[in-house]
Amino acid sequence: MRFADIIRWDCPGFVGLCAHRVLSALIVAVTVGVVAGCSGGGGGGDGSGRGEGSAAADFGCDGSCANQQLSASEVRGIVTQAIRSAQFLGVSATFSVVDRVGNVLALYQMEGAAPTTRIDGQIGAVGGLEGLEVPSVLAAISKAGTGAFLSSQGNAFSTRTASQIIQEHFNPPERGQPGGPLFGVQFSQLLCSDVTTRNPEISDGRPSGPNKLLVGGSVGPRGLPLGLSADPGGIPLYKMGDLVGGLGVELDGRYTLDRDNTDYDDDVEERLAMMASQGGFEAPSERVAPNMNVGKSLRYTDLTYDQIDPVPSEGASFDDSRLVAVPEFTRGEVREGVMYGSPASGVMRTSRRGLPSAVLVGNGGAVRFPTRPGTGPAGIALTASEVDALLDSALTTASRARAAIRRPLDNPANVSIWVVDINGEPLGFVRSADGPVFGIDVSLQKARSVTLISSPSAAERLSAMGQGGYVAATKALIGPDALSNGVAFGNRSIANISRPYFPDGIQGKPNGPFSLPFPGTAEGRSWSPFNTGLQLDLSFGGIAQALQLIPSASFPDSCVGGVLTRNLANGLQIFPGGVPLYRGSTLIGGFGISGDGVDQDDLIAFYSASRRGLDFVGHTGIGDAGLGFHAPKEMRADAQEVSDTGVRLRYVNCPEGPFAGSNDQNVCDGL
Amino acid sequence: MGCRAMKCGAMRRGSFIFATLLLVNFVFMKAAFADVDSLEPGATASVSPSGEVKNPEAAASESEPEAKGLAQTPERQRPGEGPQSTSFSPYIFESVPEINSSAPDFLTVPDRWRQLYVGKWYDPYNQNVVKGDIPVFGSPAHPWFVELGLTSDSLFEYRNIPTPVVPSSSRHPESTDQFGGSEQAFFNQNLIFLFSLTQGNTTFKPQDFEFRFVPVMNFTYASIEEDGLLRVDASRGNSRGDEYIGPLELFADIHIANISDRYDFVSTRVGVQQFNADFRGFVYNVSEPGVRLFGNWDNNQWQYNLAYFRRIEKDTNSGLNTWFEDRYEDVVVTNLYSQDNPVLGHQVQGTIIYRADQAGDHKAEYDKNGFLVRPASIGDERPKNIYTTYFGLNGDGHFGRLNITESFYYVTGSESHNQIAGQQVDVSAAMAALEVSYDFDWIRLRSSLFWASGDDDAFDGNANGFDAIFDNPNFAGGDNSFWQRQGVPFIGGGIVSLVNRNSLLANLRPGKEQGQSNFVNPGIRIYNVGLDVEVTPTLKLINNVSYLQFDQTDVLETTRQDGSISRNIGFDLSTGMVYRPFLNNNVQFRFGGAVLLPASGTENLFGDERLYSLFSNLILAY
Repeated sequence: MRFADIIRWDCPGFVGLCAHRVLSALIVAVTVGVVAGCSGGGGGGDGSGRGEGSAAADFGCDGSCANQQLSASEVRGIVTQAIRSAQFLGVSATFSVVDRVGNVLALYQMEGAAPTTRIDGQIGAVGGLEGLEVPSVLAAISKAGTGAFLSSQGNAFSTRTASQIIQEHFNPPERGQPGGPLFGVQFSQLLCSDVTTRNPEISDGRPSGPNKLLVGGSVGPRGLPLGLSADPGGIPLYKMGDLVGGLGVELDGRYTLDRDNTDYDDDVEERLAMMASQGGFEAPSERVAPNMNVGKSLRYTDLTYDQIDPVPSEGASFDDSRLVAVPEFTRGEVREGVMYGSPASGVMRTSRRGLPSAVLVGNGGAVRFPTRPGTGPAGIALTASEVDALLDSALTTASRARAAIRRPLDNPANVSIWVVDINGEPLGFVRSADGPVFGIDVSLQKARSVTLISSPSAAERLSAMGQGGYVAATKALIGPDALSNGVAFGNRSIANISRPYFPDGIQGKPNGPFSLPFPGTAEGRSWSPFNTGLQLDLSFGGIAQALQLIPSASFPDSCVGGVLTRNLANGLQIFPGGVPLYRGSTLIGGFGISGDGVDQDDLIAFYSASRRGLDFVGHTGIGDAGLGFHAPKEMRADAQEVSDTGVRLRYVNCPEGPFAGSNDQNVCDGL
Repeated sequence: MGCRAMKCGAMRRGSFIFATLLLVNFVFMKAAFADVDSLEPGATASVSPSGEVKNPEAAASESEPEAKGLAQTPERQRPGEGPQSTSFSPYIFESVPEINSSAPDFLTVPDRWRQLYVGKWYDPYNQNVVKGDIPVFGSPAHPWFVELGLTSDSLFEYRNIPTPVVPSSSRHPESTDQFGGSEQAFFNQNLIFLFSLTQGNTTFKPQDFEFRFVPVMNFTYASIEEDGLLRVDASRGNSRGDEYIGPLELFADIHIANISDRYDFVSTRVGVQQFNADFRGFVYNVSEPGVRLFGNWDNNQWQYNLAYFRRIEKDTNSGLNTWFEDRYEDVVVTNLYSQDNPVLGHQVQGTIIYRADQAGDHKAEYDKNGFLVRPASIGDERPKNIYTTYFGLNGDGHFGRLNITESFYYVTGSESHNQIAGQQVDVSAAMAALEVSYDFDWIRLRSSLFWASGDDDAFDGNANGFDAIFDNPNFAGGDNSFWQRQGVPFIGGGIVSLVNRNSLLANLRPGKEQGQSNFVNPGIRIYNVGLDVEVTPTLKLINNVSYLQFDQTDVLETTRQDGSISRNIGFDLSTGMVYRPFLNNNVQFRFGGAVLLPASGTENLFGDERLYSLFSNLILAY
C-alpha cells in the first residue's frame, strides 16, 4: 500500500477531520489571519478543495479578486521557512522566489547545496540540452518562474503539471495516446525572446539588439534561463487567493521530469517547496491542478499538505551572505514583488470592449505592441482596424469560452492573443486579465509559427537556417511540395508532425518530420523533452547565447537568427492554438492564442478569425465575406491525407461544449 | 417437450455477451417457474439434464416459451394441492412374478428410451441421439448421454452514436471540432458449439455427472466514420475485423447427494460456467471459472448457491472469455431462494457478493486495440484495487395476476484509489429496480423503475455511485432500448464509456469486460413503460418508452470541466420484434429499433443530434 493511502486511511473522509488536519488548518488559519490583517480572511471558496493545496487559502478568487504582492519581508520569511525546512529534512538546497511576472525576488543557496544540476530526460536521449550541467541557481529560477507563469487566480499549476503535459504521451506513460497538450512549451519564456524584458540594472553588461526591451524596476514579463521547467519542485505562491509569484527548489543535482504519473513520488524538492510555502502562501485547494480535467486530471504535487511537516519555529536564520547574484536575474538582494496588473509589472490591467483585459507596457507605462498595420502591399496586408477586430473577436470569444483549466467551473477562458504580420512582426496584443503569464510569449510563438510554416518559402528559409534535414523529412513524408506549396498549417497541424511518433503517440512508428527519433529507435540524435527537434534546433543558438554557453559579445534579441530573425524571434512553438490569416488565398499573418486548454486555444483562434466570430462582435464588414481571415478550405493542412499513411493532419480541434451557458456543439464546423 | 432448456440455453449464453438477444421476457420466465413448480417427481421429462431446473437462476436464463402452455395444463397437480399420496403398497412389488426370459411368451422390447424413439439425426427439435434423448454408452443403471449442438447467431447493427475525432488524425477534411461523423455499422457472428456428456437417469432424478464444453467462435466487423477509435493507431483506419475463439462453458458438474426422496439434492459445478447472482442480471451475470456448490431442500421450497469465481480476462472485441488470462479479481457469492414467499407464485432471494479486484497490484492493461483499460484512462489514471460487498434482496413472481420483479442492492467497501476522485474512496451506493406488469389476454402492459445512485461530490472521498461487477441486465426495455444496447463513449472527459454496451449503468468505465468498477459516477434513473404484444403465436412485439436521468451530475461536471450539465438524458423509444416461424427456438428472427431523443443533459454532453440504433438478428440452432 502506498504511503498516501495509509495517510488517507488514517484520516477517513467520512469523519471529515482528524487531529493533524485540524491542527494544520488552525495553524494556517491563524497565520493567514495575521497576514490578512483586517481584510477579512478566507472562507470564500467554492468548495472543491484538494489536499495538494490548502483549504485555508481558498478565497473563491476567479480572476476578479484584487491583485496582491509579496513584500520583501514576506519573501525573506518564505526563504527562511525554506532554509529551516531544508534543515529539518537534512538537505541543502538552492531557492528562488519570483513574482508573477518573473522578477527574481530572492535567490538563496544554502551552504553545501549542489552548485550545478544535470539535465536528464531519463530516456537516454542524445543531443540538445541532454546531459548539460547547469548552475542550480538557474534551475531554481526556471522552476519558480514556471510555478508563477503557468498559474493564475483560476488555476494553480506546478513544474509537475508541466512535466505531465510535455511528454510523448498524455498521460505519461499511457501508450498509444498523443503527446502532452503543451508539448514543447518548455522552450518558451526564453531570455532571447523579444517579448520578455531585460533589466539593465542587473544585466551582464552586454549590449542587446533593438528588439529586446531594456526596462528596469519590475517591468515584466522577464525571461527564464532554462525556459519552463518540468522538474518537480517549482510551485506558485498565493496570497489571499491571488497568485503573487513562484518558489523554486533545486537540490538533487538532476534537472529532469516525472516519467511515471501513475505513482506517488516523495520528491524532496517538492516536499521542501510545499513546506516552505506554508503559512498563507499555499495554493488554494480549490484551484490546484487536480481539480482540472482536460480529458485527464492534472497533477499539482504528488504530496498533500497533510503529509507535510510544519516548519520548525527554531533553526537557522536568513544569512544574507548566501544570497546569490546572477547577472540578468538578481543582484543578490531580497526585493519586494510587483503587483501583477499594475503598470510597474509590465502587464497592465485594462478593459477592452467592457471585458477585463491586460496589455503589455514598458518604460513609463508606454503600451508595448500597440495595434499597427502589417507590412505588405496595400489591400493585402492587414490593416490596423482588422488587427483590432481580430483582437476584439478573440477576447470576446475567450470570454464566452468555458475554461478547461480554471475553477470555478464555467469560468471564462483567460488567454493571451497576438496578431502578427507575414514577417512575424507583432501587430497587436491583448490578453484576458487573469490569463497565465506564460501565454504572453507562447501565443506570439504560435502566431509566428503558423505564419512561417504556412508560407510558400518555409522550406527555403528553414533550409537556409541549416534545418534542411527537417525539410527533407517533411517532403519525404508529405510530398515534394511540402513547406513550399503554401498549405495552411494550424499550430495543431505543426504539432502533428513535431512528435517523436507519427501518428502521434503510436509507439513503433517513426518520428514526425519536425521531431527526432525516440531514443533507442535510431542512431544519432534522439528526442526528449530537452531535445525536441526543429523547435530546439532553431532556438538553441539564442538560448546558448543568452546564457553564454557559447561566447557572445551581445545579448540576443531574437531566439532564431539569420533569415528567420523576426519570423521566429521568440522561437518556434509546436502545440495547438494558432491559425494563419489569409486574404483570399494570400497569407497575410498569424493569430496565436495561449492560456487555456489547447482545444480552447484552437477555438478562440479559429472561431474568432472566422466570419461567424467577427460577426458576433459586430465587425461584420471586416475580412472575407465567407471565410473571415481563414485560408480557403482546400488550402488547409487537413484537406489532403498525408501521402499513403492513412493519416490526415488536423487543422484545429474545437472542444466539446465550448461556450459556457450554451449547449452548442461543433461551433467551428464549416468555418 | 420442444426445444430443451439446455439447447436453448447454450445459444442464449452465447448471445448475452453481445447483447443480441432478449429471449427471456417476463412472460416466459414466469411461465417457466410455474411449470417447474408444478412438476411431480415422475413428470420430469422436460427437466434439463443438469437437474437444476428448480434453481431459479438457471430457470431465469434458460426458461422457454413453450413452457407457457404446460403451465396452464389443468390436470397437473401442484405440490401442496390435493391429496399427497406418495407411499406405495409393498404388495405391488411383492406380486411381480419372476421373469423367465427363456419362456416362449417372453417378448423383447426396446428400452424405455428407444421404445417410442422416432428421432432423426438432422432434426434437433424432436428426439435425437445427439440431443441426449438416448443413452449412448454405459449401463442401464448408469447411462451416458451425449449432447451436441451448433448455434449460429448473426447480428447486424446500424447506429448513430457520438463519435470523437482524435487529436492525431481525422478521417475527413474540415474536421474542426471534437465530434465527428457518428454513423456506425457493426456485424457480429457467433458460432456456438456444444459438447456435453451426461450420466444419470435424468428422467427421474438429477444427473450424476455432466461434462460440458461450449467454445464460441466469433467474427466481428465494425465500420465507423472516424479513425483512431477502433484501433488506437489512426493510420489503421476506420474499420476493424477480428476473430476469436473462447470458452463460454467448460465445466464438470458432479452430483454429491440426494437429500430427500423427492430428489432434493446437493451438487457442485467446477469450471467455466455462467452464473447470474439475481433474477435480472443487475450485478453479476457472466461466465467465469469457479467452483459452485448448489442445491435445494424441503421439496424445492429453498434453493441456495455458494460460489467462488476467479475472473478471467475477456477478449476485447468478441467479449468472450480468454483462455485463462488472469483478471486478478475474485468473486464470492452466496444466496438463498425461498419459493412461494410471501405468496404462492412469488419467490424472494437474498444474496451477498464479495469482490476483491486487485488489478491495481499488476501492470497496466491495454486492450487488443491498444487502449488503456486498467487503470481507466480518466482522471489521474492511477491504479486501484477494489474491495466491495453487495447485499441484495430480490423478488420475482406474481401477486394474483399482477406480475412483479423487485431488486435492491446496497454496496459498501472501498476503492484503494479512484481515478476521478484522485484518492482512496469509501464506497457506499445503492440500486433499486421495480417492474410491474399485467396481462390483458395477448397484451402485456409493463412499467419499470430503475435507480442506481450517483455520486454528488467527486472529490469528497466518498463514492456513492452504484456500479456492478459485471451486469448483464434484462430490464426496462432490455437490449431493444438504445441506452442498454449501445455503449456511448464519454467524449472529452476521459477514454471511458458513459454507459457500456448491454448495461444500464452510467458508470464511466472503460468497457465492462476489461475495465474496473467505478463508484464515482453519475448514477441513473430510468422511468419506463412498455407494451408487449403477441400478435400471433409466432410474432411478438416489444415496445418501450423510457425517460432517463442522471442521478447526480457533479461527476460529469468535474470530468467534463463543465459546470452546467443537466440531469436530463432524454426519451428512449424502442420497439423490437421476435419472429419464431416454427414456434421453437431453432429459427428466430429478431429486429429492433431505438431512438434516444436528447434532452438538455445529452445536449450538454454530445449535442442535439438524435441517437439511434437499428438491429437485425438471426439465430439458427441445431
